[in-house]
Amino acid sequence: MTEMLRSEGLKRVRMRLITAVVFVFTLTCSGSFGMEDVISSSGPGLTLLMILFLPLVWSVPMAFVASELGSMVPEAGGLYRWIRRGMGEYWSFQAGWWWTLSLYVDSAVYVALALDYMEAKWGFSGGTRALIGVAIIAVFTFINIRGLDLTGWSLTIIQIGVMVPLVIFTVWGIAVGSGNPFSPILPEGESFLGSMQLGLAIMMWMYSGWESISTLAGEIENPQKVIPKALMIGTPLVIATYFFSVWAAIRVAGIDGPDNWMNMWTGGGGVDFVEAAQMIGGGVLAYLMLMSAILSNIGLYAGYLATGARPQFQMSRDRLLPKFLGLTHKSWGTPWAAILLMAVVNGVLINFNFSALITIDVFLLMFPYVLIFLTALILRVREPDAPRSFRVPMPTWLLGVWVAFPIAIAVIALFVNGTDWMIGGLAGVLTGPIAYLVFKNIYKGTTDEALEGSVVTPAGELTEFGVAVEGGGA
Amino acid sequence: MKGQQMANYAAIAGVLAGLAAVGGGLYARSAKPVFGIPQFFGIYSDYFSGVHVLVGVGVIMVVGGLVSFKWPSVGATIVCVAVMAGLVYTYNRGQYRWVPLVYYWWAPWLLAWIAGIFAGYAAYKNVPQSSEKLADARQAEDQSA
Repeated sequence: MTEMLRSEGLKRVRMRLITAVVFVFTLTCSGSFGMEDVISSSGPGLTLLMILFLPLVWSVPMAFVASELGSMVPEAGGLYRWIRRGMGEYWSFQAGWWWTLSLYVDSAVYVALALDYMEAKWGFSGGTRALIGVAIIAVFTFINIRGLDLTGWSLTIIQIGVMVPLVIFTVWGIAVGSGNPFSPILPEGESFLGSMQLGLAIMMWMYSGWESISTLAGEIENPQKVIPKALMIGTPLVIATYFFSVWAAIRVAGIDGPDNWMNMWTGGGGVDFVEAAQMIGGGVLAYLMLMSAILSNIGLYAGYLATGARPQFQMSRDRLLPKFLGLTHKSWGTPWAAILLMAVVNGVLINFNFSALITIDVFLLMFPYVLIFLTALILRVREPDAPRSFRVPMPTWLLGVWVAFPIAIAVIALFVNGTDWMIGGLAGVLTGPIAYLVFKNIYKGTTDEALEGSVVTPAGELTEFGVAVEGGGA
Repeated sequence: MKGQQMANYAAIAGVLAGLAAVGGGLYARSAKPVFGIPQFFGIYSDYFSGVHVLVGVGVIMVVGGLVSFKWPSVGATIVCVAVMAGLVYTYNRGQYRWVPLVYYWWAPWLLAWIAGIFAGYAAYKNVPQSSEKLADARQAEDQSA
């Protein structure tokens, strides 16, 4: 234990399975807000079919691969350390850099969305908006620095607040709504591929985030067992949440006419979940649903502030980013400097129009996804006998065929979001090599043998640190 | 593969990226396409058009590529920054259409990225990693302080 604290500085908490599931649910779903746009773009039938079948070739492969890699390399920084083990320092830096950069922008988006919901309801001034935004960020920064225990509790309370109104709406909506939710399958006059393309980008977004919890592995006891279990439970939970709530929303929209699904969108003026709740439950249910939407985005922020800070922390500990990012809190054992930096950037971003920055997101997330899938295959071939408490139940060649689908979808996603996303993404990708060249020359990096927080050696043996962790010393 | 070999590949990719940009610019000039508004901070001049930006950025990239033979980190950084600046500049000057923009930029971008990758591998080979555990390093720092 002394060695563990000395060598890493992170405090490991005993995370219950239910809390880990809440983390997974928050990072990958947190309610169904945003699905409204898919319904009007792709048609109600295709939306429901995509909710059911897209996971088979997009999020389930990632959940399985993340489980296998997380059980094999259960280290702080998650995906960054997996890719280091499989593809070396250069590509792991690229993945860690792109992923972190993307989350700096992404997490600010969730605060901005929560503020948008509040502003639409209560109509406050720009100054008040900024104050509320900074207050939200400050509260969850403290909670995150205080530790995963408190973060887990906060997320649990938030998800209760998100799900109770959503479940009431779903049951009520399915019961009193009108029409066949699968009809029509496609918008009139649209081809199957054309309809799918319109909603695919949003749907991929809604089904992302399965790799995120892995970044917390350095602060959870037995992460190689807890995280895969949480991912396996979380996957059907997320699919069911999307499917039934969207089913209900389509039926509720149908009360005002069979074509009313065409008016479903977010951002004001359309039939979103709040408006649909108003239609069946009046002001009370609409108010509850509004609170659910606000909490959903706040929960996403709290979750991504936690996970987004960890790879940069580990990259700093591996001597690839400035030293201060590797600082840990002496009492609470959390990477406070990395969390604080991310929060400060978020606080600045929400006060400006950062829509141009959002355009880098798709590229910066899709490239690490591709690297994660490749890493899974490389490690299967190179280290077939390395210990994995979870193994995707299929031979390597079949796993290769399976992950070819999400890789293809990720590549397609790069081209379907429009010119601004393309340009932002192309420019964003090039920041990776530039950052590596700069930081590598300044900080040098660390040999594999001297890395901190390694639980298992490439030969499959426990490291000294691994013995301390596995031995239940915490 | 040795670091210098990687540096050479980075240099070749960087020079090719620059030549692709210059070639694209010259082709665009001969074909006279509408390629971005020729304006920079209110000053209107042909030299600020997408065509000239491609040629200008391409020349910088060729220089960056040549620098990479000796200093791959510096050279590849020049190449990659030039492509980023050129891409964003052209886009911000009104070249919003997907096809023409990517038509001219895909080769310089891809080659610049490859130059960055090779330069990264060169840096990995040339810059020795620390083999001291961070905790030990910090302990030593504390003791010396």
